[in-house]
Order: sequence, then C-alpha cells, then structure tokens
Amino acid sequence: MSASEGWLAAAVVPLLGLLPVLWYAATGAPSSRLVAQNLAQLLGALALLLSAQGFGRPDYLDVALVLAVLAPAGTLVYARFLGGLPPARVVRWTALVGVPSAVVPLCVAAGPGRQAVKVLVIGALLLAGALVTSGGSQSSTETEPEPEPDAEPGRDPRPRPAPAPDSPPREASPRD
Amino acid sequence: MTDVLLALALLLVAVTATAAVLNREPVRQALVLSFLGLALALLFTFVQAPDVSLSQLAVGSAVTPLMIVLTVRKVRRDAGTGPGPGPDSGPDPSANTGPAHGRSGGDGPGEGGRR
Amino acid sequence: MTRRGRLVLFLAAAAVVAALLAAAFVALPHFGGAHHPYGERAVRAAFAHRTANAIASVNFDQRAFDTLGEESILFAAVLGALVLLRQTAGERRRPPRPTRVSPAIRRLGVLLLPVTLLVGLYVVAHGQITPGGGFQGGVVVATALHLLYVAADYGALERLRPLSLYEIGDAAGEAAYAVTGIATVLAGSAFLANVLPWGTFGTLSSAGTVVVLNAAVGMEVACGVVVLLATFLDQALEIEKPEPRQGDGSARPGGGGG
Repeated sequence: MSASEGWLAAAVVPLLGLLPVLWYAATGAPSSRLVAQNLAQLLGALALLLSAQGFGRPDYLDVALVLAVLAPAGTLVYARFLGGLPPARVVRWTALVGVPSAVVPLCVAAGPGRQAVKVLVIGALLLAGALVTSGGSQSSTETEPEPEPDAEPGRDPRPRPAPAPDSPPREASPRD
Repeated sequence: MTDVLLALALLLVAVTATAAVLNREPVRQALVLSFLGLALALLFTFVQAPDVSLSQLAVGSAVTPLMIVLTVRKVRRDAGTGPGPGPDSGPDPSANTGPAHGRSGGDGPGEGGRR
Repeated sequence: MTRRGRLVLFLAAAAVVAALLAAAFVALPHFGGAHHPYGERAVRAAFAHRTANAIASVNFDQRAFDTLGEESILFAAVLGALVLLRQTAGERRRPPRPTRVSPAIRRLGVLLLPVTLLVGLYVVAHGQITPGGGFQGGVVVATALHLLYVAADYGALERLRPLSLYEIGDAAGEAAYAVTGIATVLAGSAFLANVLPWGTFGTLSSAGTVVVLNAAVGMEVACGVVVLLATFLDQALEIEKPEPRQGDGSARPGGGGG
C-alpha cells in the first residue's frame, strides 16, 4: 500500500464514524441531535484533512480550514435556538484523541513549512471549537424555552426511545 | 482506496437525503440538512471538486441553518397557536410547517448564488 | 384531481423521466475516464491566461458573462427579500433584550471572529490560485460577522454592523462587475475579456481581470448575505405583528421579544 493509499485509508475511519452519528442526527432527542451535528462536523473535518494528504493536494486543506472555522458557528446557531448546548463527552474525547492523531502525522509528513503550519492551525481551531462547544451551556437561551421539537406527536413515525440499544458503545452517552 | 471513499460518501449522501425527507419537523430537518451539506462537501472533495465543496460548506454550515432557524422562530411566534411550549406544537403541527414555506423566500438566494 | 389520480399521473411521469435518465446515463462517458473534451480545453485556456485555478478561469474569464448573470440573481434575490421582509404598517419594533452567553462561548467567539474574517478574505484573495473565490470567501466573511450574534447577542451585532454601508457595498460590488465589463469594451476588446496583464503564474498578481472580478463578487456576496440575514434577524427578533387578539404576546412566559 503506497503512502497516499494509507492516508486515504485513514480518512475512511472518520467517515465510518459518521454513519452512527447520522443515526443520532436523524432520530435522537433534540439535545443529542445537536451533539451529533457537532460531532459530524469534527469527523468531517478530520476526513477532509486526511484525504487532502492522500490525494497529494495541499490546496484541499482550504476546505478543511473553512469547515474548521464555520463549524462552531453552525453549532452555536442551533444551540441558540434550541436553548442551550448540552455537554458532550463524546465530542470532547473524539477531539482530544482524533485531532492530535491526525494532525501530528500530517505535520510530520508535510515537513516544516507553510503546509505544516496550516495543518496545525486547522487542528488548533478544531480542538478549540470542539472543546468549547462540548463544554455545555444552558445560559444562552434567548427567548422562551423553545418547544421541544420532539414534543410534536405523530409527525415522525419512528419510535423515539429505540436508538439507544443498538448504538455503539462510543455513542452511548452523548448527553454526558 | 478512492473508490471506498467515494462509495462511503455516496452512501452517506443517499441515506442523509432520505432522512432529511422523512423528518417532518423544520428544525430537526435543518439539522439533518446540515449533515447532508457536510456529506455533499465530502463527496465533492473526493471527486476532486474542492471549489464546489467550499461553496457547499460556506452556505450550508452556518448561513442556511441561521435562515431556517430564524424563519421557524418568526413563524412560531406569529402563529400564536398557544402560549406554552406544549400546545404550540400540539393541536395542529401543520400550522408550523405550512407558513414556513410561504415566508422562506430568502432560501432562494443561497441556492441561486451557489456555483 | 383525486389523490389517486395524482399518484397515477406522478408514477407515469416518473417512469418516463426514469427511462430518459437511464438512457442518458448509459450514453455518458464512463466515470473517471481519461477523455475530457471540455476539461482539457478549459485547462489549456486557463493556463494560457496564467490562472492556476482552472475553475476560477472558467467562472471569471472564459464564462465571465454567465457569472454576471449569477451575481445579478443573488443581487435581485436580496432585493426581493428586502422588499418582502420590510416592516409593514402596523408592525411594531421592539428591541431584543440582551442575552447571557457563557464566558467560554464568548471567548470562542472573540477568537473565531478575526480568524474567520481572515480566512474569508484569504479565500477571496487566493481565488485565482487555490480552490475558492469571491462567492465562497464572501459567505465566510458574512458568517464571521454573525458570530457576534451567536456568540454574544443581537445588540452587539447591530452596533458593529452599519447596515446602510453594507447595502451600498452590495450595490457597489454588483456595479463593479458590470463596470469592469464596460471598461474592457472601452479598452477595445470584447465584454469582460481578460485585458489586464496576466502576471506570473501561481502568484497573487496573476490571471488579469479574474482578480478584479473575484473581488467584486466577494464584496457583493459578503454584503448581500449580511443584508439578507439582517432582514431575517429583524423579522425574527424585533418586528412584531400587530396583536390580532388580546393577550397574545403578553401571555407567553419570558416574553417573545428575544
């Protein structure tokens, strides 16, 4: 397996991680949906970082950079509307484990130079965004506590409490 | 290996798009839509179209959610179907989704300007 | 038309579309093939004008006229939203109450605001070299400003956002594109032809008019999105319906004013 194939294989890992997250984003309770959205952006950025190296196109790092700066903004938009940001241990640990284990090898592979600096900046932004948005805040409610979207009866045919049993252990406690 | 990435990204797009259609509540749908935007951005990058991917990320990750969420808030506030959190959505859920389409004319610019 | 009739009509139409699509897809060149008649010519033309990012060359040089149309669509859409979402007679305006945001999120906003702004400007400025350009960068710049709303409150955004300036910027960006086109005509060439010196391949000062048009689009998009979101924010947070029946607004816990 060549080096670029190896980087692309590494990019498959966060991509596979997106599948269970999608399940939560589509069927979970409102707060765990928010956590899923946050986690998805993080995993997507990691996949973009690794695939840029795999394709041998340092230009593609710009896509990861834009996602890294915009992801917290998107999460905060939803948090503002849903009345707070639930603490999320899964996001914090994914960031603490995933970001260094992608960024450090990428920097080593890039060698000293502009590209390594860019990777480090993206890594720092991802870590900062994930750590702050996973810390939780209940105080950013702006108006009345918005009606929990899940309070609506009969709009979604799927049974709500079902997702818990068949979830992978990593996702087991998105609410902390 | 590129094929594996492509297949996974295509699978993600197909599943997420279906989930976005099946979710009927606007805010929930917006969250799935964000996910769909991310999946599309990944797919575009994997087929070597980073410009399109950047457009998708720029529009989809914060601006579109903000517009949807603001529209839903306005519609819920004006609908005045009930004072509390519960009854607001209780009696007639379609009252929430119906006017949202009429008022969301601003969704167009995001789509129209995308290239 | 009955529900059943509509379903039958839909299924018949869908079958025709599916058949046509399948026929078209069979005739397409294979995925990932080596033969790209349009791509090869476009890349050759891009390199001839010393534009490293062929997409930027297609958007702002080879098919710059199309992009003028796209830019005008966004401009018209923002205008339409402004007209539709204006404050009408009888609607009251109530200043939103300040919001408490946790200090960590506020600090993240303070950190991210300049970084996002810089990334946006970087994406606009490097449009002719790396992926991105005026549209993508412009939206990122507009998003940066709205970090003030999501990481602080609406009051902070309103204080630091002189809206009339952005309205002028929106129009100026749109005008700059058309004026550049007229200038190329006055220079004795075709409308929006690349008449400026092409510069050195792969540097910021390459690609001639692509840089100018990129900047025009970046300004138009950034200002346009800010104006657009401002109308949405106004409607959602400040403007209230004239009360249709008594006790509508006051009965809510916490007050709906935001």
